[in-house]
Amino acid sequence: MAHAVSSLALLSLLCFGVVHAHFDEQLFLRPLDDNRVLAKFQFITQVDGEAASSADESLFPRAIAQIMEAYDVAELHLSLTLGTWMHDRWGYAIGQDAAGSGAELWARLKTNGESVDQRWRGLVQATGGLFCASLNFIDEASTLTPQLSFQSTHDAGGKRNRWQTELRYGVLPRENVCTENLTPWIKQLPCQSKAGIATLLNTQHIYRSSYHSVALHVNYSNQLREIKQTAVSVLESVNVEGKQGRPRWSMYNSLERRVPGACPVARNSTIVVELPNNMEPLLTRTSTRMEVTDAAATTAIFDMIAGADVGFHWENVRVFTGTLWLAFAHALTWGISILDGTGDHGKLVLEVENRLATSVDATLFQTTPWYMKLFLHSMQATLVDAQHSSPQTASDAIVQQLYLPSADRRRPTALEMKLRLPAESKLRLIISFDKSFLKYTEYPPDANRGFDVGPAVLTVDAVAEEANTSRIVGTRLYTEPFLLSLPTPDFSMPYNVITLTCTVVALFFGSMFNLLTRHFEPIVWREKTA
Amino acid sequence: MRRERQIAGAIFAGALLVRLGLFAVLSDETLAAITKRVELSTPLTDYRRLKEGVFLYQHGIPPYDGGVNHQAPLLLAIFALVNSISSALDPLIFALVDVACGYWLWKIAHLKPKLDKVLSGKQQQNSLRVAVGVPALAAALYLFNPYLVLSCLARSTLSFSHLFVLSSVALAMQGHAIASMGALAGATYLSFYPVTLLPAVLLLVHTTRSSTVSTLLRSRRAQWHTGVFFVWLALLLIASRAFLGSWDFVEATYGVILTVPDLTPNVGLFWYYFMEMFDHFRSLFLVVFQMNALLYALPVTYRFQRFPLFSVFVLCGIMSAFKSYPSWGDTVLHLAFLPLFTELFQYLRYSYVIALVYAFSSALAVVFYHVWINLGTGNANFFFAITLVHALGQIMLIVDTTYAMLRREFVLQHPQHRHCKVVQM
Repeated sequence: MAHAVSSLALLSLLCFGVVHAHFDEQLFLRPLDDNRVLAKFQFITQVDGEAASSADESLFPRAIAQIMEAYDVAELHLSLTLGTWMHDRWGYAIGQDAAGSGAELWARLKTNGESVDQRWRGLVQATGGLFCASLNFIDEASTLTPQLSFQSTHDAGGKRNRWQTELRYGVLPRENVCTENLTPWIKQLPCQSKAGIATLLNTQHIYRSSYHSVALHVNYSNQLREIKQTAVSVLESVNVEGKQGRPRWSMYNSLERRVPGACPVARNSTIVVELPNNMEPLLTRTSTRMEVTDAAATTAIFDMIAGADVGFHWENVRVFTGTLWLAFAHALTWGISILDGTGDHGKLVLEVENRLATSVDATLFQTTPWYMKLFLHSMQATLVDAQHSSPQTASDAIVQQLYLPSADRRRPTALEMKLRLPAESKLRLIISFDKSFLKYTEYPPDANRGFDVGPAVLTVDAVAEEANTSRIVGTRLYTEPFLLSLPTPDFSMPYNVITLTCTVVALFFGSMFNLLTRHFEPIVWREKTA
Repeated sequence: MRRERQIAGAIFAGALLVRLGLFAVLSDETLAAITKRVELSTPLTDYRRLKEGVFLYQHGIPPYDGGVNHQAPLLLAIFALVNSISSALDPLIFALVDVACGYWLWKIAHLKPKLDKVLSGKQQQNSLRVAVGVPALAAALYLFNPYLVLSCLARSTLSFSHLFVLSSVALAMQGHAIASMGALAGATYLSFYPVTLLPAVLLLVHTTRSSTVSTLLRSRRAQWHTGVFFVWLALLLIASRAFLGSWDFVEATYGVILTVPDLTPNVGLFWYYFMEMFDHFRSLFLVVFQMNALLYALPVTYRFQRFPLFSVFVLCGIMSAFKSYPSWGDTVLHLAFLPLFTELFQYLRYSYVIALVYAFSSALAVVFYHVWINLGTGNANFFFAITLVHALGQIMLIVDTTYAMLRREFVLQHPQHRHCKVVQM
């Protein structure tokens, strides 16, 4: 009997609306050390592919679905970023939120017999068109297949990895991100900017921030279609109010918007404020509930009550600079620079510093355009060990090294390394390079500004376990992109060069022709006399 | 003869010591700076690119699947082998190769009077007085040519090509046809353009009193030797294929020589021309320029069929001025033959101007490149202008020596008109 009842219950559940599609939205706020506030807008749409009804389907943005299907893409990651995430001041961006400056696109395309490169080209064009970004400049000369970095976000061997996929990675460090990219991004949301958290995306204020990044992460398979859209902004400073100078921050002041109502189709719609313990901020309004995240912070969760404001303030004037709110904020630093880069050659310097008391496993990924010819044989790796106790040398720190040399006008350089950084050590890599000279049509209009070279990426794979460090595992650390100045020809010279060089060649041809075809013959020359 | 050998030996030893001494004295930074000079190292001869190729090969990365390494695979094999012993041996190898070049040049200078005698017959005996000491002088001028010493310090792999060209000519003059063809095939294999020397070297091999291009064309042996040249070349290419396991290197070496994708400046005419060239005319002018470099082989050899060594001299000059990636090292090979033709000096018209142009362009090339690249106070036109002047100097030397040769030929036939005025009709 009990069996029959449970079967009936199950049947009714199946008939009357098991929801196969979810939409969750969340605004995450966190005060940062340097009087700024991190605002992260996150929208996740999940559609259970196999059981989805047409109503469920409508939740998933159609334009994205079309692209994913047309090019047979399993995974797509796009980020459009303005500014560089300052790891040392703002801590680590969490998980996939880190992005290099400019446009970055990577995707896993299913191997289905058709040319992956051709579909990648199509995907790049379509995505660029959809988000009004100049992604079409990601051509074969700037596309790569990383072997160690940018591995799938899913567990290998999981049910989503039933097919073979190929990874393609392209980056445009020079992309100027602005509102025209945000508008199509908002359009992919179920409520667009009409309701829900997306109404808080006030472009004027979002783009007045120190760092801004919109991203799109799509996983697409028959079982599950998931799209995660995030917009991260490091909003400008906390205001100081009144005579006592009490610092306070409120959403209304910062975004000129109050809490909207939830998006009607959203399953969860919340505003979350993370309160770092060492900064002791006080909430302006009582939250719905509080949670203790970890030793370092408490989280306040607000439900969406239309018209309310969210904010925090401090009782006393405080100077936050220098107070590291998370113990690991300085754990890994990572930088790139160019030495002697003014002439026709230079040196690329990569530095990774591990300040933790334990060793860290990380993957380094550096790509340089083909006109920057690296000489890998000249690479000098030095490991500076603060303790001088570890017997490890630089070659021990580099566990694995993969290198793909560039090919002129066809392929960039790719250097990947699996690193095992000993505790409190600094690894420095110096690689010489030569600059290529390009055809005058290959230079951009402002040739003397230099060429943007994309950021190097360090992925933290594993940390020998210590308190508070687990949050950096899986994080990608991007260096700043840098400018490479290439020697330029004189752009006004084509006709002159063609004329002058041809003159020299013709001079030789004429003289030789003359000499080779003529003979000396004695002739008698009679002077005419009057 | 014994005394001459002693002098030659002293010159070779001196040249070797100077090179090794300089390698020992100069700091690594200085040597690296010399290696980076675009006047000395081209993408095809750059020592760093060779090292990168060796490095990639030793790490299992295909060395020719990229934009860095454009040098012949067997060169890579040699240096991979040397590196496995010690990379400190590299300077010694480059110094020895230079000295070997000097030896072959000395040999050529020695054999030249005999060649002239065979070619001219007895009636011009009196005009064939050969200055004593020419071989030693030629070798000394070659080995102590500052261009060559710098090129050696830059460890430019061009010297291997020179070695093969000079040994090919010397062996041809000694009558070792197969070895000579092998050496010429080696030179062609390394830097392609020496293929233009083939007819002239064949003529040298088949030097008889009556040898002309037309007898050569009819000669079975000459045909067979041409075949030998191509067999040697095929063997070298197949050996390279066997060494690397793929034919990628053909595109990365000869493809690069012919299509000039790497526009790194050098002292030649190609780089700026193809940097500034309109895209839709690029292939047309590539064909024209490469034809210009290769075209003269037949007419020059034909016109000077009684003087094949002179053809070699002129063709080396044309190679040095019009090849796609020339350097100062190429100029040395051209100038190497100049002291062998002392009999022409009295007929040269612009020797003073030519010497000045060479000095002028050498000094200013360095300055103008620095001004353009490092200081940024000049632009590419400065260096381009000086490469034009350099080319002009080489052209003037080629044209002037050609004129002198024709004039001398005329004077030998008409001694009574020795002092006549020359007019062009």
